[in-house]
Amino acid sequence: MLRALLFLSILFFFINHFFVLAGLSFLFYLVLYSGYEIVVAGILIDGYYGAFVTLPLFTIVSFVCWILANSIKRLLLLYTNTNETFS
Amino acid sequence: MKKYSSIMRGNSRHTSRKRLRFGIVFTVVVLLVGFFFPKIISGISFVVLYPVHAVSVWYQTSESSVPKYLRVKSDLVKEIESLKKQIANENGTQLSIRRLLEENMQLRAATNFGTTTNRLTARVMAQPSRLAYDLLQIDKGLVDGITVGSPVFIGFDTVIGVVVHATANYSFVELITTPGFESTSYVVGPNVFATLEGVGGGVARVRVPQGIPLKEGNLVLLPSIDSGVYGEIISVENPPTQPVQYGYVTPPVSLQGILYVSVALDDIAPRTVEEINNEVREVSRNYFKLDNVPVFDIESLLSTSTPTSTASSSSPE
Repeated sequence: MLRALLFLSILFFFINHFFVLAGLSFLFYLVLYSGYEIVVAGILIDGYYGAFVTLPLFTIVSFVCWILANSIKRLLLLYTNTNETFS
Repeated sequence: MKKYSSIMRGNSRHTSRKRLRFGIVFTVVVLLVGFFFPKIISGISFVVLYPVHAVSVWYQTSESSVPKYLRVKSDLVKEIESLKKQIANENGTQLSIRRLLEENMQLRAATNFGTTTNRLTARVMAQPSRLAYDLLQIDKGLVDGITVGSPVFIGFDTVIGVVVHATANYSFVELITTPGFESTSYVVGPNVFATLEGVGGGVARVRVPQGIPLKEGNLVLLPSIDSGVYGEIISVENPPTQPVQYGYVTPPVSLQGILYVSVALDDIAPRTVEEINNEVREVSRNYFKLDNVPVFDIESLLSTSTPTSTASSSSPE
């Protein structure tokens, strides 16, 4: 539920040009979930503004952020003796 | 609190790699589709985002209380922020610009007098707030040619007082507004001569009988001094039970704001009534004439056009 709300709030804030709030929501989403939906959000926003005609910047930025967040998160994972992960 | 997961180390790596690969492929495919068919992506985006778009439109345009309140609040916050920035930017420079401009204007006005009297520009060293009221100290004295009794002007024609004490390097000017200081004045408007008497505190008053149409804004001249305008009536006191009415007069510039004055070096010559009448007429006539407004000069035009028309009419012959 929270995930969906956060996702929608990213879209809503970007569409209404509340870029600070949108950025914060984006960061929260990356830290909490780091799902590839963030790239979908980027694609949707770029499509909404017609950015695919020139350069879909937000898609690229969200994709890079997603990859970075994933790689950093994997480094921060801890493992038990039996190789179970916990965070 | 530790949050244990049933995912094993090997599984985790495998899952994340798989997800990463899927994400990369998905993004590349979408970018390619978007590159070749941007309208398709835009159409899909618009359809998917329609609910969000509808909410945005509601937020931006609805007249219901919640969005209106949010809009007004955010607008006000933005306005406050921009005004704060504007004030911070302008405050610094504006003050110094205004001060320099003011000083420049006063200096220009003090030096640019087109009168026959010989004048000297002097800087005001002390004003009423630092001196006894209705007294000015200026930085020119006997060495510079100032004598006791010389009239002192602000700018071209606004007389404010006379020199009452002169040392070698500085002088004191008693203002017309000093209590007990009396001079003959002429009030333009009702066109009467009246006694101008100092009240103190930078204010003088003219006393005229009831029935004379004294109004705020009437110009007060001091005809005993060359082109001596004193100021204008700013307030009229007209108690119906009294036989006289008073018009309170102030100079056009605040006494605390005077930086430069000009002192007439010639003595005040005694004048006949006729001379004074002529002077008053001249001053009141010229007071309404503007020097800086370009006026269409019909005489010069006629003088240039007449020979041309003569020439053109005579040329066929």
